[in-house]
Amino acid sequence: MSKENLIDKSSINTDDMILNMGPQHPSTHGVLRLKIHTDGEVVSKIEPIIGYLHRCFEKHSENLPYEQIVPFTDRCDYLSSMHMSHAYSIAVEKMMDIEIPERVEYIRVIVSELQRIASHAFFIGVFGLDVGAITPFTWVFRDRERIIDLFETLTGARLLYNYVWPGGVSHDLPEKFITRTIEFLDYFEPQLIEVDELLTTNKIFIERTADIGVLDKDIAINYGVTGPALRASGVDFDLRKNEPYSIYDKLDFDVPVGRGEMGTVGDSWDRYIVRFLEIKESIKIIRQCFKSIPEGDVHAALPKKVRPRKGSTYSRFESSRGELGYYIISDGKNVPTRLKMRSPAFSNLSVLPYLSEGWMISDVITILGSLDIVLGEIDR
Amino acid sequence: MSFVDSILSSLSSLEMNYTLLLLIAVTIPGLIIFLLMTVNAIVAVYMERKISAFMQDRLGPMEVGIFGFKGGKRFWGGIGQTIADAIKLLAKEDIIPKDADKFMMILAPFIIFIASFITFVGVPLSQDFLISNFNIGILYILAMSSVGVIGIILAGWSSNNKWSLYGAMRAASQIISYEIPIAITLLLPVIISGGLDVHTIVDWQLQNRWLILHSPFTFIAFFIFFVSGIAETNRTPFDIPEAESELVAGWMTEYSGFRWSLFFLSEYTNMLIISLVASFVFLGGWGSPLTIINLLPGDYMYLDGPILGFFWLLLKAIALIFIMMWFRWTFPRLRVDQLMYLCWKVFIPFAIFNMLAVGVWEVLF
Amino acid sequence: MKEYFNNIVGGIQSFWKGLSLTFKHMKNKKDLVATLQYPNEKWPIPERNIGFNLSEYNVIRSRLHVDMDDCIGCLQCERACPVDCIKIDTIKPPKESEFDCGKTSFGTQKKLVVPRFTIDMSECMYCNLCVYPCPEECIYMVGGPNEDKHEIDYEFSQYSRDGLIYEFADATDEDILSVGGDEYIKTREERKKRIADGESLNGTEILPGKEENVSVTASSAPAPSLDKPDFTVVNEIEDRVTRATAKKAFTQKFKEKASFQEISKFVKLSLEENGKYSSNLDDIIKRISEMTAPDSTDGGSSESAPAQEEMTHKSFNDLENKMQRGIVKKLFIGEKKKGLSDLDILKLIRAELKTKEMLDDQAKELLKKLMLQSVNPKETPKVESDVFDLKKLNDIEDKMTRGLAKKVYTKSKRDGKKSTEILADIESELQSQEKLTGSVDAVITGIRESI
Repeated sequence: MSKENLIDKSSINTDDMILNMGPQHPSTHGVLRLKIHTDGEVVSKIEPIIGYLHRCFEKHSENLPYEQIVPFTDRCDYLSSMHMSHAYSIAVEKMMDIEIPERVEYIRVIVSELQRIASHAFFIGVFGLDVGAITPFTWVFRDRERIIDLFETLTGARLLYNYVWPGGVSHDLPEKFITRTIEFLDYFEPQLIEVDELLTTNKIFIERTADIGVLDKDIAINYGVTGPALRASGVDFDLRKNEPYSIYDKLDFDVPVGRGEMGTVGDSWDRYIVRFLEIKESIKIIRQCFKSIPEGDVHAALPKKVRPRKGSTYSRFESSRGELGYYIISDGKNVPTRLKMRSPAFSNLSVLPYLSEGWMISDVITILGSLDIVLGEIDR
Repeated sequence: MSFVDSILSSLSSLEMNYTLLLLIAVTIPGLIIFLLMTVNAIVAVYMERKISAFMQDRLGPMEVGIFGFKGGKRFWGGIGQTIADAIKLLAKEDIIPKDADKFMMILAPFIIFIASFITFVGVPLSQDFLISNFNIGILYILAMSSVGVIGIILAGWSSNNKWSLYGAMRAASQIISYEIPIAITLLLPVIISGGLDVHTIVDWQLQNRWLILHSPFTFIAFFIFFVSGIAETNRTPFDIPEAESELVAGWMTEYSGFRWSLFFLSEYTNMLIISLVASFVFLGGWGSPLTIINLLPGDYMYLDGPILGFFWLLLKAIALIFIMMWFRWTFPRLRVDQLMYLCWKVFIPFAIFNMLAVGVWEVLF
Repeated sequence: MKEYFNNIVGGIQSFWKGLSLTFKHMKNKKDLVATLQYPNEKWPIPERNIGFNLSEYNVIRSRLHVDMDDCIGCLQCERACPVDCIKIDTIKPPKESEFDCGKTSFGTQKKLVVPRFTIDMSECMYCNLCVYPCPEECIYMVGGPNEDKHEIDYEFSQYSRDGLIYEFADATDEDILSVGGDEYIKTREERKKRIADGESLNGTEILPGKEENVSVTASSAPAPSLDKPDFTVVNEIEDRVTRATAKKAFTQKFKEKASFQEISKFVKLSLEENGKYSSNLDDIIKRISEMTAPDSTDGGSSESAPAQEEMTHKSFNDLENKMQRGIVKKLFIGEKKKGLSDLDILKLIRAELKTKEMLDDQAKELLKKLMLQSVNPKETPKVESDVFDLKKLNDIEDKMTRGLAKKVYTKSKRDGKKSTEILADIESELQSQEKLTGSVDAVITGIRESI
């Protein structure tokens, strides 16, 4: 079960087998190709090969005016689209020195946190599926449908919203949105207990994920891993607390950090439990926002022509996968000269070859699942 | 009186050639077994789909009906779904990969099918519904169910696919290891009732009590037997050989159409066999529930007979199949070495200890 | 040992919890089943009451629809679309025509005829960005707040892609002709014919009124003209840095319209200053001095330099100062509209710049040049337009012969020969190549007779 039980290699002359976990596979999350060198069942080397979903987002945005890029940012990480457009809007507003009204900030935070709950819930379902438990997947998705319904009342779309624009949001909250969201939150918290019983404390699940793929603090920082994967290794770093943007400094919430309850600090179980606890924190944040949301006009700061000044800027944002960054260079025209997106899943994926050395093929899938990658973001 | 015996005796008056007689006496029971296997597959697949759907808060097949009966709006539609699937599988294109070993690939499903088939020969369905009267019943069943491993290894190797090879190797190690707890725990009823023949064991149970409640050790033995039986048939949580999210479909990946349906058929037949054997050996076979603890002697004469006995046996087997499906949809799957750990370090010590303890118990009580 | 037993006991406990949970779900199936049996039951559209005036913002994503009676042809939606799936053509009725385009339902008077308004729904990404800028709220996604205008439709799949190209314009051919759009109809018919012939146009055609749609293929590499220096000689320098220095010097002097001797001297000077001069570059420098200015009336490109005869606002592009250029152009356009002659406009411009004290040397020279141009019409003889058309040679069937004939034709035309002479040239060339067959001869005689 651990690395010490490997066969003594010096006595038998064996050859490495190269196994291809191809772009089409039930449990690589998207089109990812992994070339695995194995010795029997034990993995010696992994090469991830990406690029199957590349859509030239960054080059294409050099020909589009700033307000037309927002739908394209949604499509990069399709599971947290609000985060992508929010981060982009922050970058553009920084360059144009726009002051956005309070109400817009509150709406953006509510929507971002709802999106975070949806993304983490998706992760829980899919992680269970990777490990073999098929039932929690359907339960979690049924609850996620409710969040998507809320978004449908808000923007009209279920997955790709085009809602957060540079300078504000596209329109205000509907009449019954707040009551419906609070209803949903009240319904959702007990559901988490069910998933807890079925997955988190299940002996087989613990055996499959505890002590597997342990990521040390220093190595995580050196590889550039961010987000829940970093917090699971014991590093208390969350951009919402350490470098607050928007109104996060006024809100009161905790940042869950992995403590190695079932195994070592930084194993796959920790990565799972950190995301599980983050859902609870997001629920807390949303309730606080609803108590203190001010009135106002959401279109007050929408610019007529988006033409930032010359220069460049980098904006940092805590998305559900890690630190999302946008680096925009502008020449004073209405199209950006260069737009680069720092994708968190890309850096998280880079630590996979290090983590899976010496484990078995089933563990590779567990580790890949616990890193929570989305290929749309990696390939852009 | 077994089927074979009865056919032979009824047709012997016709003065036929002996070989021809033998041929008929062998084919008809064969067809009956095949029919049984198919019916079981159809019912079990539908049951599995519906049960898994309800556990996952969804509905399962709803649209396909038979003979105009589409089922109600809620819950009982889709009865004809399995039959439609079977017809589709038979009509599918048969693909054999280019570099695959053609002969082995064609041979493998038949070996697995034959393994389940001949095991069925020794399994009685009621007091009188018996294909052939073996006096080494349990031993025969045990032996014949091990033949299936060869088919699995052949299937995995000949597909010329590394993933199938993985599945086949894992399956081989798993099935062979889990034979041991099954064999040891099956020895317990033999010790207690004193005979290898199935009739002996069931009669002992009907006269005394169901073996599961005979002593705490047989209680544990039942669970060990049942869980190892699940491992034998490659169901979750032991479905590493055909792990859906890792190996696509494991050793069955390259098979399509009719051959795949043979695999499928034999998997459900194996499930039925394990449930049937567990019900004979531990749950009182074809006795009615009145015989669980025989309060009044002679109770076993009530609610008995060939037809009713069949009904009771089927009920118990279906309950056990339901439990197997219940397990499948609740638990994640174990990794290969954890599976092996479970077998060699948990089940086998417990089974051996059980055997010793049962022996002591018999002597004392 | 104790851990071993603890493991087993803990395992059995957690299994029991999980099993009871799944069983509970199965028992309560009547309340918990979440399946929707589409298409018998459909998920209800969420209520849309946003709380303020709905007609401004439409929050549903479904099929796009245009109320053509309300469209004023402002092209805002076309500009806002990120994937360019909306294509609109507009024709402005000329001032004299009395055509009434109608009024929208808000009371705005329409001023343009819209003969083509196509939306390709297979390219649409349902982002809703075209709905917001429309001033008349005529483009919207159906269902939702505009349910009374058009009911919801999100099940519009088709078997072929053509089925998803929606044409909304309803201007009839008579309307188009009555506003003077016969050119438009002609190009449209031509396009249709070419598509029917199997050619795939891919949107590279220029329709009248849309100069900015010129695609890359329409503009070939610009031949050297007075505006762009000819680097063929300079490009022969091998070392990259030397070549760059030489080019910079060349362009600098070229812009000042110096002669080629002066340019070559300046190039040599700058190379020496940068320490890049060596004696094997002498040959190149000599060849620079021998370069001749290319013919300005070359038959090459015509899109970069404006026509020399007519003065447009583009002739002022050489002015470097942005403010200056802006003032001049504005004045030019304003006065041109009033109908003043070119010379008068230039005089006005000069006066204006003088008052604003922006009349520097460059502006003075440019204005002088333009005044001379407007007074003396260009004397370079335009090519005689009575030469027979190249297309008449298309009757020749054999590809090689046809190609050869056309080559001779163009060469002779450039030399300024007349039709009869060109034909004689073609004949002699074909004869020397032994391609003058009977049919070719017949074609040439035919052309000769038609002149």
